Amino acid sequence: MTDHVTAPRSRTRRNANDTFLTFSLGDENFALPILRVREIIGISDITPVPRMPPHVRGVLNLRGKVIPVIDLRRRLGFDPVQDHKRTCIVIIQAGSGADAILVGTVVDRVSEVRDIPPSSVEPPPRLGSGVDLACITGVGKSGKHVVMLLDVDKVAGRDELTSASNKG
Amino acid sequence: MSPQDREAIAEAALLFDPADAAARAALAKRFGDAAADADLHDGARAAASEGAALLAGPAQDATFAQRIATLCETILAEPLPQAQPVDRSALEEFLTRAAGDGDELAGLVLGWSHGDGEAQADLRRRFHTLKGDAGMLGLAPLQEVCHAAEDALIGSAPPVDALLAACDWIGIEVAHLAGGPPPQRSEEDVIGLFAEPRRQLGEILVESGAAQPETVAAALLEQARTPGRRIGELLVERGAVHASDVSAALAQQNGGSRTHAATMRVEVDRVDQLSDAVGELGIAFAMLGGSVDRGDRRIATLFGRIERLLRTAQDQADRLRMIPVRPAFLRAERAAREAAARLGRQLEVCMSGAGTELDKAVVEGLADPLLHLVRNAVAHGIEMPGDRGTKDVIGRITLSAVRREGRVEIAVQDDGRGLDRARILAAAAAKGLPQPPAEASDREVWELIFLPGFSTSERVDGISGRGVGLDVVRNAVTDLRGRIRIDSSPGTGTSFTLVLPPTLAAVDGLSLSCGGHRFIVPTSSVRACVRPRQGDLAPAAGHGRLLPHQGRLLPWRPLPDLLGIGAIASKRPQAVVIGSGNRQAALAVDQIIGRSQAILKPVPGLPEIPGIAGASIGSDGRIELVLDPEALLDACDHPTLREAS
Repeated sequence: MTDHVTAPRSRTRRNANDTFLTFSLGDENFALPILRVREIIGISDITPVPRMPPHVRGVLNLRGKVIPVIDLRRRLGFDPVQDHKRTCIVIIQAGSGADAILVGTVVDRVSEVRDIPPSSVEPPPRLGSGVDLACITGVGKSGKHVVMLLDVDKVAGRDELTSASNKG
Repeated sequence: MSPQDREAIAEAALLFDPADAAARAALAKRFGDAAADADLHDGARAAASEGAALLAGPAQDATFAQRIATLCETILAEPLPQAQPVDRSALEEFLTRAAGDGDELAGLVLGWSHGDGEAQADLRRRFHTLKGDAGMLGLAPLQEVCHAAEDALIGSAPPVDALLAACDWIGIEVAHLAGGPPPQRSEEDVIGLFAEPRRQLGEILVESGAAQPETVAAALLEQARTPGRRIGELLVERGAVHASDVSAALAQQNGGSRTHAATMRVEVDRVDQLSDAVGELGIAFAMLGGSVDRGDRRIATLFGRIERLLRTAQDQADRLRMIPVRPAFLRAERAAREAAARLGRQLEVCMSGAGTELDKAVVEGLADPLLHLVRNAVAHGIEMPGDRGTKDVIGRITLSAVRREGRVEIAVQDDGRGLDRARILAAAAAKGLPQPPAEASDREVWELIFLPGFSTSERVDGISGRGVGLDVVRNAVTDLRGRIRIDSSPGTGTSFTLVLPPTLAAVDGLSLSCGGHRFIVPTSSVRACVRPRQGDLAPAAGHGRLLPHQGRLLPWRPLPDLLGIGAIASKRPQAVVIGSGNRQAALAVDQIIGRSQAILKPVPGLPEIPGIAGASIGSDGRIELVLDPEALLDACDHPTLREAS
């Protein structure tokens, strides 16, 4: 027997499942689960591909791998904007196991990595947002901001890339 | 007697202390067990009961312990327990199964010695299975011989004699187990055949130049005077050689003596990953090269060195995937012989260039088309022995491979009757296939036999002419990004030449630009590059225009139109004439940039795009899309297709 009591968990210690990368599209804040984020790169040469739905920007060369890139603005129903200095590409892993693919998502700007514990997440609103709600798993509070948590597989899964439909 | 009993008795033989009552009681129990053990021989049982009786009596003088130890040793002299008695029915089943193994294995060994790569894999598997079976049944000698043979299968130079001796021995041993006479050779003899003669250390040292012959001789003399000393030690002591030379020589003596190349199996995935990394390294280096000032001599020298190393690494990475075309040839040869035997042809098969290396995937993809072509040659090319006129009654099929201009040409050539122009035209007409013009060249007529549904064979004979025509062959070759050429002359024979890229990954291409995009079209499908004047194009019925080209009118289609990406910007566009078989079309583009090499990469996640075969990373790191000529030709034929896609 030990009468030694474990110290309360440090508040800064992160549970990776509750950790998100937050970024913005216009005035709206979004978050992607950090476990699905592979890396963030600056906007780089994207080669357009014929016959793709408008939200598929093309393909890019990620260290010898050719990966598709989607424009998250168009995917979620925002108006497209010109790329600018803060525009970047978040490389995420969509799908899992043998179906896992890397996909680049173009976002306006990356904000920070934040904990958003399940207790502060509410179900997505039924109405009232211009955003494609099928892609939202919930609405979380992070500081004084409200962020929409994205469903990676809905946003960038294989089915999504191959379907000709688009929300642009 | 259980292993625990043996151990306890062995311990007692050394350490028994007669004063320790507990030890005496324990040992007495072991002796009792041993005395009652029916599996022990009589002497051991007698010793055990004597020991048990002694221990039951009072402790005696010093000789008592001695006596117990002797008894223990007597008991332990019992040989180790034999393997479990063999299950007779399993043994019989094995012997029936293995009855022909000796001969079959010998056949495979011979096949291997003639270069059949599959035979080597086959042999390894067969020896391995046989070894496992023998082990299960406790047939130690058989197991050991198989083990030695299996070990000898590494590498490219088979110890044929030793292997054949082992196969013989296995055959006789299996027969012996089934009741026949025993083999004359012992298994040690056979296994010994595989051992390479152990070379003398001094010899190795002299050969490698590490020591002078006279120094070694002197050391050997000294060794003779002082037995037990090692020659290496003596040489090092005399300062005649370095210790490191001796250890290198020892390593060579013990293991590295095989002179043939050792091989190892590696997953293809890993090789691909390595190739990717090396390719990417090349690109990164090229990009770095653009931004570094090479004015500094040191930097320039280093750059040169890295460049050379990189090129070596790239060559080696490419070569990792290359294997000789031989296995595909050997399969084709077997198929040709079988077909000849069934169809009553006399046949000789010759090979040349079987060592020509191609990407593993190409060699694998080639096997079926080759089978088809040789069967076709036997069935339709080679005449019956009585019909060969002045030619040798034995027909000849030659399989050859040769590297030419960065591509590999594989030919299946027969000396048979040659293609019959009139018969092919008649057959095509009967099948309702499109007729070439009367003045069409022989080559154009030969193209007909590749059309789906074409077959001049009147019989369904299970060898050729099963309704699966040469179109299957052409599709397979196209999948390998190659093409087929036919040369034929009546009475002297036909040859089918497959022109293939040596690797699947690299495509020779032509870089094009149109509508702000860059594309690569594989050169294997490019027939011509043209820049017609405005007035050259003829209007076509419906929409679109036609380009007169070498006596034909080809559909003229702007590439951006076909792909649905904007329009041609150039006032006077260029065009590439692409073709596959009889079909040709002119694709208009803004500019033809030049030759380039494309490394095809998969794009996981994206759907198949009609007209696009894949993506390639250019030497500047940018992605270029590689066109799929077949799909583009389809789109030219059926303008509605592109709307449907």
